Amino acid sequence: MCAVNSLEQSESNGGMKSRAVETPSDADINPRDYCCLTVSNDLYFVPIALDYVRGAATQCGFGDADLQRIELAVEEAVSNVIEHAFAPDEVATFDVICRRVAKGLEIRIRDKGMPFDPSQMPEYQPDADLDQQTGAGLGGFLIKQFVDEYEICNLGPEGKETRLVKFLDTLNIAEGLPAKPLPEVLQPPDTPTAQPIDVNVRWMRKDEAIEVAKCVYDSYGYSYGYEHIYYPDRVAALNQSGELRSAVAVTESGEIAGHFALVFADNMPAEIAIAVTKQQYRGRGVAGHLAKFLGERARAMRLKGLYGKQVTVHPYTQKFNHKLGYHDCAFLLAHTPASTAFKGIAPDNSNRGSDVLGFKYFWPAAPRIIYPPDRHAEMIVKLYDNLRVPATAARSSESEFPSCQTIMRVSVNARKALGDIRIPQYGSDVDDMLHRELWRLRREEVRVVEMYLNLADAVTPLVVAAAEQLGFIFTGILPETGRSDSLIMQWFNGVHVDYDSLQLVSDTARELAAYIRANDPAAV
Amino acid sequence: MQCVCDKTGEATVIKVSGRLNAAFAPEFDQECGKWIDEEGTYLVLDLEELDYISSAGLRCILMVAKRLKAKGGKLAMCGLQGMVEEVVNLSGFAAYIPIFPSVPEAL
Repeated sequence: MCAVNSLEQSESNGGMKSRAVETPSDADINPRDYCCLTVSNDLYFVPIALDYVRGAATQCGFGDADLQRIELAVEEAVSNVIEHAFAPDEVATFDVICRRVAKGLEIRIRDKGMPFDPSQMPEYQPDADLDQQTGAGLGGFLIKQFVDEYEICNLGPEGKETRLVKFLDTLNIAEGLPAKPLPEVLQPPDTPTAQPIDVNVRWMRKDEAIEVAKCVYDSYGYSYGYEHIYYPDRVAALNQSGELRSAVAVTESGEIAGHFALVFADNMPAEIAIAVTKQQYRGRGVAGHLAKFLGERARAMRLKGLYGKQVTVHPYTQKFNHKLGYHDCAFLLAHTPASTAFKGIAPDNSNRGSDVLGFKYFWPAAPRIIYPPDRHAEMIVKLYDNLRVPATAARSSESEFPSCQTIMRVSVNARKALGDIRIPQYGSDVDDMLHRELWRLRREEVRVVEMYLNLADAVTPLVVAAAEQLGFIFTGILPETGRSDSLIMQWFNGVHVDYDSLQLVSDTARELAAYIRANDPAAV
Repeated sequence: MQCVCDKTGEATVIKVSGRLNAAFAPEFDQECGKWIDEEGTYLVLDLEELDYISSAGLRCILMVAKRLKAKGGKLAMCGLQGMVEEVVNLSGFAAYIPIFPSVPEAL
């Protein structure tokens, strides 16, 4: 992607060097889509870093207006590192990494300077008057306006990373259309009410992405959580990169009757998602054909299993997935905003939708040792039994956090007002770090936080206890999240979970919901 | 970045061109500083040829506005276009710094 990719020998340029790099977490990335510039912590080199990012962004196809927006966001992030990450006289370097992603560019600024304390980040107040305005926090504010994704990760001893993602301004199928009200009951995925129809199920072709996007919009309005689906160019690019595998059911006349997909994300099992059947083909077995196709392909890919998010506003998705062999194992309460608007428009948090997670193994699950917190051990063991996973619950002897530094990744989906916390390494500062991150997320008006904790780590029970002190609640488990299974916890910022409104099908889901409710201090 | 000053009647017009970011903010600040200390100065920033502005540039403009106000002076901006206009609008500066299409309207 970048011209600097060819600079394999680390070309020295004063305080800068360019090289193609591959980090462990990026092992699967095509090196041609990836480049890194190492920069001295001196404002003098900022223009060169910006030229480099501009070059990468130009090659991705960004136009002049977006190039300036990217440049501004990177300048703010880089200047912030130079001015705040190091002591005044400290001579150091940091990396600016560009990676082409599906229809966009990811830029990561990674430094080994001082740890990041989000509570020290001032919040810019655009509505302040001249006397009150200090300009503090303006850089961060502009970054958020100009990129589509923005996150800061504490990498423990590896420093910290600011990650920016900008997508190309491609067609959004719903742009300019009036807001579409959500159907009263979202489409039942496969309720046989009419004659089954013969369809040919196959992987989606690139030129069919627009039809798929329209189908999703027609069925879900703008409410579907996987935002990329509304951008046909992104759908095509994600299918090409393998992050999304879309299957379509095509009628004899060549019309797309339905869509279902596998979604791949870091440290998560593959998800079966984005089920949609055109109105006139509903109840005719289309979703069943698509699910069978995806199941077979997933097995052929040697995936251990798939998980699905099953809505609770109606029972159909749960019933459909249970028939396919999915077993309920967790809740993501208030996961989806009731109505989702684009960036800059606050989502309606009054009635967020909750999902039940179901998992299906394709092969007998390997035995494992888990460290559940005593308090939730019985429920966790029940969930494993329900999944048919031979898990041995061990009692943790850990009584304090390890002395190392915590590695924590926190990402925010602003559109859904949703935060996601992963902690690959627990350290002595995990409690403080969680506290500070919640403070920041609350300020950023994140409504719901979902945290995945490693059940194979003996320290997890301590972290669960600390998180519960901060207001997190246990909501279930999800197997095969990266190298282990996860215990899921959630934290709510002014969101009321209406447990009575959950429509649940399985005994496990009902029992788990009752259990969560009983342990939720905010439940009424 | 380049600054060219022009005294027009009661107003001082500073035409700023190029890029106003962290690298050039001190220079801009110094240029504006020449006029701020006079009582009742009306300073007009002509940004028609400014291609790029970052938070460092915006903060400089903010500080100029504050210092002028303290001395009984005023600041205005004109000729904003492209990303400069976008950034200024987002930052909320228009609420306390008058913005005009061009220099004649600002005078």
